[in-house]
Amino acid sequence: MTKKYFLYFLFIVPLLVFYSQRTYSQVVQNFLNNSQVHGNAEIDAQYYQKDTIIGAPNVPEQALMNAFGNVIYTNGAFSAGLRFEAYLNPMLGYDPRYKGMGFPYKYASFTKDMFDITIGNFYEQFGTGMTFRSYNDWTLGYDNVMEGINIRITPIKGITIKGVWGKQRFFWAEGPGIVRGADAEFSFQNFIKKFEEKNVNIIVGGSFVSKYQETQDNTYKIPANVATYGGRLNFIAGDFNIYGEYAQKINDPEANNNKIYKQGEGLLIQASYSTKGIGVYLSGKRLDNMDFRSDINATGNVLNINYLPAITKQHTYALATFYPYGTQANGEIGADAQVIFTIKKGSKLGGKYGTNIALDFSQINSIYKERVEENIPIDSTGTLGYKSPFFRFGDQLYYQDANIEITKKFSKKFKLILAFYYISYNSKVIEGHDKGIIYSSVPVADLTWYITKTKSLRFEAQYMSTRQDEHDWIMGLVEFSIAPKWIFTFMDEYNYNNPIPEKRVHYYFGSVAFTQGSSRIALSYGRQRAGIICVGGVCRAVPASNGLSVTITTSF
Amino acid sequence: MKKLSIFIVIGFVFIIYFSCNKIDPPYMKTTVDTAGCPTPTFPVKTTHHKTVLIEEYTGHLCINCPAAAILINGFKQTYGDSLFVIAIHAGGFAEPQTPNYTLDLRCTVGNDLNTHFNIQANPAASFNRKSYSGDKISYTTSEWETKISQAFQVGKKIDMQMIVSGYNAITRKVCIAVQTQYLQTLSDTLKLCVYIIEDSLIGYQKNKDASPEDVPNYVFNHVLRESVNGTMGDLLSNTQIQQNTIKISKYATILNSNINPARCHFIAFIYNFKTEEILQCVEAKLLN
Repeated sequence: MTKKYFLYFLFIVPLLVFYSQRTYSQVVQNFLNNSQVHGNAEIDAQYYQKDTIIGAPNVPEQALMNAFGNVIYTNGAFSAGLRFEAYLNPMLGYDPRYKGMGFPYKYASFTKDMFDITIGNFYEQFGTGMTFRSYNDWTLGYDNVMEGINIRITPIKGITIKGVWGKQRFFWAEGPGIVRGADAEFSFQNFIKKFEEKNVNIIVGGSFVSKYQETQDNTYKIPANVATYGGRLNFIAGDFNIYGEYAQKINDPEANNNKIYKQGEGLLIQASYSTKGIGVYLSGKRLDNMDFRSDINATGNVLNINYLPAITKQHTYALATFYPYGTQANGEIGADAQVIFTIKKGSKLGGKYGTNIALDFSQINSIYKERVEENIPIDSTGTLGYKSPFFRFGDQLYYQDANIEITKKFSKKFKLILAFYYISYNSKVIEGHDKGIIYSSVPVADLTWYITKTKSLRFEAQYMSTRQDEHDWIMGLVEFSIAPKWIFTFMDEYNYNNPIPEKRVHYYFGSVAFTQGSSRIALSYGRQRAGIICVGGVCRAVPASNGLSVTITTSF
Repeated sequence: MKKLSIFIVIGFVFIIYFSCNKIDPPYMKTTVDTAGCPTPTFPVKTTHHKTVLIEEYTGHLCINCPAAAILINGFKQTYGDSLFVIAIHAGGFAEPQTPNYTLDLRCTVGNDLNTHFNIQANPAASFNRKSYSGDKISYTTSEWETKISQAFQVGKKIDMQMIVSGYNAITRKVCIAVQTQYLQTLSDTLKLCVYIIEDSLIGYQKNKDASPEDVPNYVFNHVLRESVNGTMGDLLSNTQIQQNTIKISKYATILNSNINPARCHFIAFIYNFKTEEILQCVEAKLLN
């Protein structure tokens, strides 16, 4: 008997050990084969020089840096990642409260059956974001990432349900409020076969978001729980697309709306049609008391729960970006119309390569407000604030932009873009500067000369005429590219007609950028004028600066 | 499983749906109705002087804070009635700690301000909440003397007076009237805050200059207790207001039972909503 066990021990156990080791090593091998690590990083640093003429302040640190790096690990249905950020110290124009470094973003997520669950930090969006959007924009220095739980359920193809529950990032801490929300979207094309055949679809969605914050106010009754809810409908038929979203917010007396109890509402309608040679895009928007944050005391670009998209066109030419539009969450009404068409190749105006023309007009006004009661001034704290008929425009112009861009390729060697922008900008409302309405006319010429297949030279000439603010500017740019690696740029913005003669200065700027694969390094030197930049209606003030900058971006 | 997910979603939406509080008018708390408060007659002022508010962020566990408080008392001696002080106990240094540091001087408003202005260390102080170096509004002790001087150099735009009256010792209700006089035409969005301050609170305080470091009967002055009208206050004006316009804002509040009326005073201030800079401030005692 003992001999039998001994034989078992001698032959079978080693066999089992060998087999289990093989299985184990296979598991490890499979695990490693399925593992993927991705990441990207960006470093922005600047050496600052004091420049009293343009108002560039003295920077005690002399050089400042913003940087981040993402590392994401995936293995089949599992994924985990983190982002390191460092602001040592924050570059000019970024909120000084970012000062420091750490890991503000770390998460783990997995997908199982119909569930997709993320724990830790996450970004999410319901519809266009009118009820909820957490996102990150490095250029703006904006990050309202959530920390909590995010769940997505897809019970059947065509139905998506999302849930969020957590707190928002407030620089290196969390905001005081708790944000909870759910969203459901239903796509008819997955259920009606004819829709698929005819390339038609109807997508219906709805969302509900609530925040909770404990507050102390001896005078007013402050709701601890405040909710927004909204519905959306998207109809798509071939080249035609129309999207509408409406949202409401219940009483939310907070710092940005002067603590009024009026219900908030927002409406966004976008329609587009495109066919060969022409594209039309129309949009309209009305916002009324839609600022929604997880802290009733928060101001500036922090702790926003929702995102209110801008409908005005975002420009790229330097002088046309002087006066960009920033969404006015407390109230605005406006519309935008864009038409893009191509004059046929071979026609008199189209020439050999055709001519593209883009026309755009947008206008945003205040909403009409009238007193709630005869003796209560508009916007009075602790009241309903005002009454506002839904479609009535207020008499205050916030922003108007009429522009045309013509793109013409003359030959294989030359391409010319001519553009003209006429922008009316309410500086008091958008920037808080009491310069009234600034009217600016900006003609632009942009010529590209393709010297060889890889080398090109681009010239830009821009002029801005305005009788307000800093008056007239002229700008020139030369850019030499050796594709795909090198770009050399030199530009100068000259405020030649500033009403203060000492401020009639040149803002010279030169840069060299080198790209290899997914990595890019750019060195630049020169003056940066003070102003604001806006991305999607969210704006950041940029102070004047002078110095040497370096930007490194890479991904793997 | 699909049915289960639908139930989960319905449950989730149900929970969130009831997570909203609809407030019906009146929005003002009935206990602080100003109807019974008189509108006082304010004395006519012919000269207007600039005032500065120091908001000092402190805590009983902060060993450098007593020295900072001495520094501020020195400023009070220098600037007299033109300078007002609020001591905000918030953050890690203000947390209670057994067995000795049990006096909790934190309040919601102080916590809000500590978060809003991202105060990272104690002692720190702001001077009219103005950024004098373009990047921050709170400064460490070595910068205080310069900043206070800079704060007084900023021009006057408005003047304020405050009268606190009608304190009822049984109901603890008190009436506050604040008069604002526009010294120039202004179109900025201006907000008015009224904070409740208490002096002579006694408790333990850490002090690096004392031996032993734990001081048992430390006297806390200028302590922010709460706000009459919320952390960020009320709208005063957001349209163009002509020079010499006078506005009177009336409030009533119920004093919390843990505040000693004999040691209580009010500080009211007006700030520019966009820049957060305090333009002027005023102080009045509850009992004279």
